[in-house]
Amino acid sequence: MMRRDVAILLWASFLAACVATMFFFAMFDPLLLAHDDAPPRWLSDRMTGYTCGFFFFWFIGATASFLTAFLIDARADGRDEV
Amino acid sequence: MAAGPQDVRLYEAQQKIYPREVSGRFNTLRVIAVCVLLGLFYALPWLQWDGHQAILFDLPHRKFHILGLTFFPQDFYLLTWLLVIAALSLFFFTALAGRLWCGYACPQTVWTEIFVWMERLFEGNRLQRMKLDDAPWSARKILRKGGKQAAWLTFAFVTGITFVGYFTPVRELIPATFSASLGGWETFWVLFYGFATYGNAGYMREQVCKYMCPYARFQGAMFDRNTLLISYDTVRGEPRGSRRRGSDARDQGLGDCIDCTLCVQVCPTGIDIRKGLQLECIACAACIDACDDVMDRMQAPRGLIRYATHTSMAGGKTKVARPRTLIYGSVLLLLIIGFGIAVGQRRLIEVDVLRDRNALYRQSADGHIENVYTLRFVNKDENAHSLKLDVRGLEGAEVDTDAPALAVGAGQILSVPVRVRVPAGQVSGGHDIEVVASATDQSGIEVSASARFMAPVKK
Ligand code: SF4
Ligand code: SF4
Repeated sequence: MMRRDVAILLWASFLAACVATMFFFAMFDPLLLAHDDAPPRWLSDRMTGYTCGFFFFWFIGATASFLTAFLIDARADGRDEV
Repeated sequence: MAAGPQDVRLYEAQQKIYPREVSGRFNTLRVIAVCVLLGLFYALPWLQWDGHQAILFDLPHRKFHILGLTFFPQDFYLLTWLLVIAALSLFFFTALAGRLWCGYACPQTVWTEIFVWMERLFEGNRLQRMKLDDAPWSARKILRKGGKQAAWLTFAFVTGITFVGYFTPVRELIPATFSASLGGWETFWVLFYGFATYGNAGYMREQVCKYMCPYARFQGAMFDRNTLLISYDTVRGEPRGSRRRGSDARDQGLGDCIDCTLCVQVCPTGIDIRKGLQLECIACAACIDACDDVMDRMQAPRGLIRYATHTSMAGGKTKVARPRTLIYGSVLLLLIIGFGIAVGQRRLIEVDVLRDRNALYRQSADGHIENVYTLRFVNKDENAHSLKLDVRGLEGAEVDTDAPALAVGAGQILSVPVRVRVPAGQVSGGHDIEVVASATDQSGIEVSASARFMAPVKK
């Protein structure tokens, strides 16, 4: 993968994460995403919740993108050898 | 396929583009757009409304204030709706007149423009900038480059603060910044947004449009033969070539293009519009201004490069009303009207009912079956309201609460535990009930929510 590919991939997943974060937290209040009626201790305020959510979505999106790029790359290599 | 010149070009090192300064009708239009849009961006957070910041997206409290209206997460569908309207407007205007958005309104264009102005102020015009970059480091170069950096950084920082000012009251933010008591999140986002502005407008510039912008990639799908685009009149311009001023081009077998390459030099994305419309063209019309100026000096009519449609270039008549624009336009209109109605009809008070999780029902000493619920009110109004409760759908049921007076303040969310009581002999099993709250201080405000009332099953 070239450096530019990595940049594009991170950028695309960043955009997707922004949208996902917006929709997700419009529906769920981070303070209510808790077990036993109490938020986990590290989730002491909403801004932390939003931020963790955002990075989580970004990570998932980037993983999917990397995997896609990798599989497509691998397929192209395989074909070249034939 | 063999690697043609096209493929090679993609992997060539990025050439720095030094756009030449330009003046003319469209540039004036852009200067106005930049001033208005950035003026709004920097001024809006300072606008007050009824004692609070007029536009404030208060994420920690999950409330959006827009002028006199307060929006809660329950209103999220309105935001989605608004986004759909925005997307459709983009389609509509793209079909009509190409990348108008890119050339005049996109934040990338607008901020880049400001950063280029600052660059020009410190480093001079195109030639001076190129020379300065080539020159060895000297006191003069350090001074000019340093001045530019200082201006850029200051501007980026102010931009970062303003951006965060939409989410945290700006009047508290500024003093906090200067007394270094800014919270962690605020600091992070001021720096993040400031840095993004600095990087995108100072360095990335046209590369954002070329490589990062999704719109730039798919806008072509909305063009047709009747879309107004920046076009070079090949028939009139070719064959290009230099000539003496005042000499008759046609006698020399030449078209109107004098091949001065000014249109290429002013182009912020570094393309030659004479090769036809390209993906990189952000429709800024700088090349039109440049060429019009040349045509004036050559005493030839303007418009060798101009806004034109395929059809009109081919000598036909442009159709503005065509299926594509009519469909985009009418759907857009419907959505906007619907949005207006939805905002106008928005319930001012909302209520949710949650059953007490601990017990299905309770038998009280005075022979009633009691169910306990929590009512959660959201008052989206600008005014406080006193409420009175009622219950419907079950004979003999009454509702009461320990709260002395039920009042919910403006923009407040209020949770109240309530009891619904029914004489023991009158019920058996589950019943659907409706809890109704109505304002005592204003007629017409009534909200209700349904719940399930549970009683022991009589054998
Ligand atoms: S500015 Fe006009 S005259 Fe000059 S090269 Fe471009 S198209 Fe030709
Ligand atoms: S070709 Fe003309 S309109 Fe397109 S980006 Fe370049 S200067 Fe702007």
